[in-house]
Amino acid sequence: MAQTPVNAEANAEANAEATLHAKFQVQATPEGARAAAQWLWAQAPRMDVPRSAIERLDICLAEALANIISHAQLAPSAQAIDLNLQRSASASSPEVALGIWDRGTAFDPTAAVVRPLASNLPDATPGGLGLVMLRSNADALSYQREGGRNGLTITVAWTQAS
Amino acid sequence: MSNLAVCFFLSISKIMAIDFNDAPEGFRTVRITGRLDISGTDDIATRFTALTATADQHVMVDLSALEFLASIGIRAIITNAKALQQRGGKMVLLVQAGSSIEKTLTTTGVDALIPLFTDAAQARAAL
Repeated sequence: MAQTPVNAEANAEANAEATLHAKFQVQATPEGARAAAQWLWAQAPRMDVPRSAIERLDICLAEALANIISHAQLAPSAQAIDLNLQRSASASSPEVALGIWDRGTAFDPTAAVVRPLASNLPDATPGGLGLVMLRSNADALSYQREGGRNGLTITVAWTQAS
Repeated sequence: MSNLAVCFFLSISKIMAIDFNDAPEGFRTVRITGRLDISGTDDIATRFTALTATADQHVMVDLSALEFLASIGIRAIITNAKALQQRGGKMVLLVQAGSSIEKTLTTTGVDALIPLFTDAAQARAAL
């Protein structure tokens, strides 16, 4: 089907914008966390995010959602979690920012104190590993509290593949 | 931004599986595949606990084909390792070298609690 040059340009621009940003909403449940991961694996490759970076985002997303599900004390009517993925336009320092917004009690994963894991098995209480995994896989983490919502932004960067 | 003739996407597996075999040498290998996130861990938790609890002595947990490991999955592994140790048994973990799973277990310090191997023969020798 023939397209006029103006339409083709507009379509190309719209497509370019569409692949720089994606949004989704899930429920704060194990199934919601699985759906969130599926969304990430569907959207991030379309933004030219390399596999290793998506793996890191996957871990951060799973741990952030696990914290919300376990600790946020969400009201039954406030189970929705908003997700957004924003790819930076820079080609020389590519990165992607994943935003996670929930309506739970205030919790700042960037400020929580993490106790180190015990050095022997009998003493090990495996709490706090999620925060260690979140912090070690993200290149940057930022938290904001706005309008009764927690907003966590996870940034993962990578170098252009040679 | 490249123009892709073929649009690819990566999908995650929805199938969680756990199986086992008992070696003549007396250790049990428990193999877990799929995605050990909250749902995945829920799916296999009971079976994993039972397989560890009923092993004769030692257990090798084979995570070499595991797709994803969340902290909740690590929690289940540690819980079962502790229970096994209390019964006088030993757990070792087998992972694929260079995998995200290996990196997670070393970054969190779990490898200091439960021996981690990338080679099956070395893992067996440690039991």
